[in-house]
Amino acid sequence: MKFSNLGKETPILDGLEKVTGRARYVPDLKVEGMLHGRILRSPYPHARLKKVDISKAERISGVRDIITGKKVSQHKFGPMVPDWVILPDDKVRFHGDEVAAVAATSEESAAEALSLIEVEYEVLPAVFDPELAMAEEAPLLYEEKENNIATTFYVHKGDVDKALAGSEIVFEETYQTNQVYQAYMETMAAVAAPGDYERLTMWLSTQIPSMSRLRYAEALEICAEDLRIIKPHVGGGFGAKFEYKAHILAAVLARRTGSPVRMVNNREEDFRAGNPRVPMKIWIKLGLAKDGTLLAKDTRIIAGNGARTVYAPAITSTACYRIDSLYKFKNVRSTGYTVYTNTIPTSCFRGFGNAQMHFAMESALDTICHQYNLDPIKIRQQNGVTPGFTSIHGWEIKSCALKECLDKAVEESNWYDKKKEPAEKSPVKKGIGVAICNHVSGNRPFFKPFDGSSALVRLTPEGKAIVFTGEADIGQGMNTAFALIAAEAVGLDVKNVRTAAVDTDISPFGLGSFATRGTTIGGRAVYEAAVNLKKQLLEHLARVYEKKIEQITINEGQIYFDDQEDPITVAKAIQTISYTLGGTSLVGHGVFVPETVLPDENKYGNVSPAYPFGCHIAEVEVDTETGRARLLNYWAVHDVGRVINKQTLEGQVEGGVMMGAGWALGEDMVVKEGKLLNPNFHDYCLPTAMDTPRGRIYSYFLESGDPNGPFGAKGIGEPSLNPVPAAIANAVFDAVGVRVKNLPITPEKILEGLASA
Amino acid sequence: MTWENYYMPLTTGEAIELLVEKQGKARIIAGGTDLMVQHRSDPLNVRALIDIGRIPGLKEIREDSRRIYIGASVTHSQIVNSALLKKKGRVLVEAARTVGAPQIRNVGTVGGNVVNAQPAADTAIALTALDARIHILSGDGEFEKPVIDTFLGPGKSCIDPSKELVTAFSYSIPGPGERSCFARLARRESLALPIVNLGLWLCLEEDDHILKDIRIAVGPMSTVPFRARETEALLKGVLLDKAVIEKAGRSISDEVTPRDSFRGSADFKKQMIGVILKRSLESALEGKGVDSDEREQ
Ligand SMILES: Cc1cc2nc3c(=O)[nH]c(=O)nc-3n(C[C@H](O)[C@H](O)[C@H](O)COP(=O)(O)OP(=O)(O)OC[C@H]3O[C@@H](n4cnc5c(N)ncnc54)[C@H](O)[C@@H]3O)c2cc1C
Repeated sequence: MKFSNLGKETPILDGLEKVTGRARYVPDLKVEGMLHGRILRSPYPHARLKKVDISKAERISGVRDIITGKKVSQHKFGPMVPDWVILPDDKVRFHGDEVAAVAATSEESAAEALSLIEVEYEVLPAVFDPELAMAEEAPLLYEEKENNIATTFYVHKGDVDKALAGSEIVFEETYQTNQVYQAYMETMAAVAAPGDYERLTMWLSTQIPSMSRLRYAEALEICAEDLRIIKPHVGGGFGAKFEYKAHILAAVLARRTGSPVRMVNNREEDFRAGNPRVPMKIWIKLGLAKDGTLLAKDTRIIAGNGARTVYAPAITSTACYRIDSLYKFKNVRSTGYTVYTNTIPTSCFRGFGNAQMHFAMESALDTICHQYNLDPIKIRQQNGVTPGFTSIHGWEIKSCALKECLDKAVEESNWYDKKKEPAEKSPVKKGIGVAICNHVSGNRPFFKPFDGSSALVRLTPEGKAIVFTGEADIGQGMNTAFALIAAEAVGLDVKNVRTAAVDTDISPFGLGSFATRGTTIGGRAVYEAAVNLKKQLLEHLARVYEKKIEQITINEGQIYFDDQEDPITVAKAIQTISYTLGGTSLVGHGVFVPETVLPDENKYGNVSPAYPFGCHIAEVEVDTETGRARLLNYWAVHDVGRVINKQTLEGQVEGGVMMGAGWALGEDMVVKEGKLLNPNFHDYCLPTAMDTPRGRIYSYFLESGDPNGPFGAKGIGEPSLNPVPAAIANAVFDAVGVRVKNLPITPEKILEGLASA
Repeated sequence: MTWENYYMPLTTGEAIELLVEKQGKARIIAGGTDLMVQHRSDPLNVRALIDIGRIPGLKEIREDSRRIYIGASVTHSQIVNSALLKKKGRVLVEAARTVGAPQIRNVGTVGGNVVNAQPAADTAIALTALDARIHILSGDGEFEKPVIDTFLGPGKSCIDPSKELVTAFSYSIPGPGERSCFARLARRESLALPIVNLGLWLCLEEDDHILKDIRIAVGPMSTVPFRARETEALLKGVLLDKAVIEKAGRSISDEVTPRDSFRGSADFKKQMIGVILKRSLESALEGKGVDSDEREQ
């Protein structure tokens, strides 16, 4: 296929305004009469609120309102489990939990008021480790939740016990993944402003404008139609920016005071009360035939929910069973507990549980290969899913270039030659490791009513096209991908296409940015809208220029008639057409509802229209005297279905690899007695530009052309991270023979491993 | 409370006059990379800040016939780029290169680093290894003393920036056989405070590997930048070979008394300081990555 707009390196269309600082994010907004909101957070991980006295704080000049649990409705709500209240009036459950909120005319007044709120706490016994929280004697966070278990997930297909009994190789191990922070550049932010018709407008830094509208209406006990959500530029989310308490508190304060209220986390509160990754303890048992054929997988997961439920239960279930559709399993069983602890509520983070399980599964396979002298490349090729395969959970693998991804990564990295190289004489050893991945591009059970998307593409009388979507660009470049898709489908130059900011008063409902669904599902809706627009355009061209539709071609903004030498521009033609129609714009409308199903009670059912795959190979060097591991080179090969924009794909891969490398090699939220000890970028060590591989991150994209994706495209956001920690752990093992089973892979753990070898 | 005035004197004399006039209610500010961070969590109780960034003499790196002088408000970037120091103060260049990130190095100063008195301040460690002297000006006049004598405890210096102004640091021009180097370990490659750091200065007998003299400064191994004098004594006058180097590594691990901290446990730091001393001595032996006046000429 030849494309005019796709497959190229197109800089994101809003790049210039971003790098020059002109782009406006929620914290940049200044609304007339805006008040500054601040939140008082609990200094204890678990405590009864005996008294919250705001009398002194209220006297500070500039303070317009202070809310506490006693002043607001105590009805319960929540994204998955109704364990949220606007503010609690009984107890606080984590160090950072919201106790009160202030709105004042300046940040200083708000801060001063916070310091004058007098709270009498009765400190309660607390529990921080999910496994300990399940014990009989553990203190309960919610009286009605026995053993602190928020939710349990269970799935069993085939007969795992029988298959394990018949396996020549049986391997069993426990892995642990830690809690890490998404570290988006823009912290959580909202501005809420009362508007006309008693409505409320909220500018949100969010991944889910339409869904948060539903949830916040529920929280505020108003009709969703009375809530208008606008999503301007967003400075990253990586999963964290879903429903958020501070947004709701801004809305409550705005409604009570009748003034706009700004609520922006400072970095410390964002660390202490954001939505970090779900930590997991994963026990895994695998059964294989002697030749490496995977026969059975049994897993048990204990996952940390934190003090209230955001999305951890869905993340745990994903960890339990998504990877079962990467390999041709016949017998799988998995139990996952999502457990309350007196710690920060946890939620989505790039990979959504699948990343955690990839660390366990891909590390386990590596160890099995080492122990039984199997080839880690071949074992993956031998067991990996193939096009046309339906997995044990009913997932229909339509496009799949997994095998080709492995081949390409092996070839580009010189895998087999590197494997043969003798060990270095110096104390610094090199090693190489592989891991593969799958993911979804859409996830049917995430929003119960449906998964799908709709879009409008409007062709203005000036010949410019505007894409309206409810899906949320949060910096990943989705708006540019949509413009490219629309331009390609209509035959326009992408320079004349843009994607509008999401405004729920104007944009269609869109589920948002998660499950690596934007390009595939949102993009397909844009494609359908563009096709619909083109059909209308052709009909009008035929009418106005008195041609047959077959005589007309549109390409890169030019319209060609087969009986005419020179093309005319779309801009000129559309103006002519528009003026015959009372000045209207042509509007294409597109809908995409994939044929996915809600899994049945045994979790059977195809959840996603398309499944992306990838293979990563990491090359590291490990200093055996200091224990430090460093990336040397990294090869990431992904089956993306179709390359819409090479530049943003590379951006996602390089970002995903480094985000995964940060997690693998050092990032850690260090919590002591429930208190986060490193809530800042000094002590929470993200990788810097200097920590990228000494050599390079090489990225390659294979085009398997998915039947459901727009022009065949599948997603990249999460798969780019999923295999990283395992690929690095496997490379570290190859270098020095130390297997680190609990992330992060620190110098101390490597030295300990070397010492006990 | 916050300051009412921000002064930018053009001479050291003016700066001292201001300090005297404000009677302890003014404070010297250089790059502000420590002071402003501290002000956020623990607001300064001063009426005025005295910014010394416009005083030309304080930003000079120069040498006379015996000593090298580094002005107090010389930035880390200036040190990194100084041709003179690359030749005659490598430990300092290598230390300055590891401080923070480019933005911090462009504004952070050597004077601030020393007066801030953190036990692992990188350039403070290097100056300690060089046995540098600190030059101070106050209302009572000028005086100087060894840099190491200014450190009283973590974050505590004997220099009072509301009364005294550091003007410069100086050390002897390295002679034949003198070499120096710096090493550190951190959690990442940039923008990270050290887990351990080490400044090494040594003087070899001509034409062989006998150590005439040696200074080893390490951090954060004590409440202040620390001279490993026992290990120095062990090495003085001996032939530097593999076995001695191994012994030195073990010796320093035993000598230091670091604390468990966020950046690493005491045991880990003890082990690591041994590793980086060994590596520094090895590279000194090979003449690699190490300052040596003769080699450079
Ligand atoms: C992100 C970040 C990373 C950092 N990384 C490192 C690192 O890797 N290694 C490291 O060692 N440090 C690091 N630092 C600390 C800091 O940058 C250095 O200590 C720097 O050298 C301080 O110099 P300054 O000019 O900014 O000092 P200021 O903040 O201006 O002053 C510090 C103190 O010294 C006093 N003072 C300054 N100059 C004089 C003078 N001439 N006479 C008398 N008193 C004076 C001030 O009153 C104040 O008490 C980092 C800081 C930040 C913010």
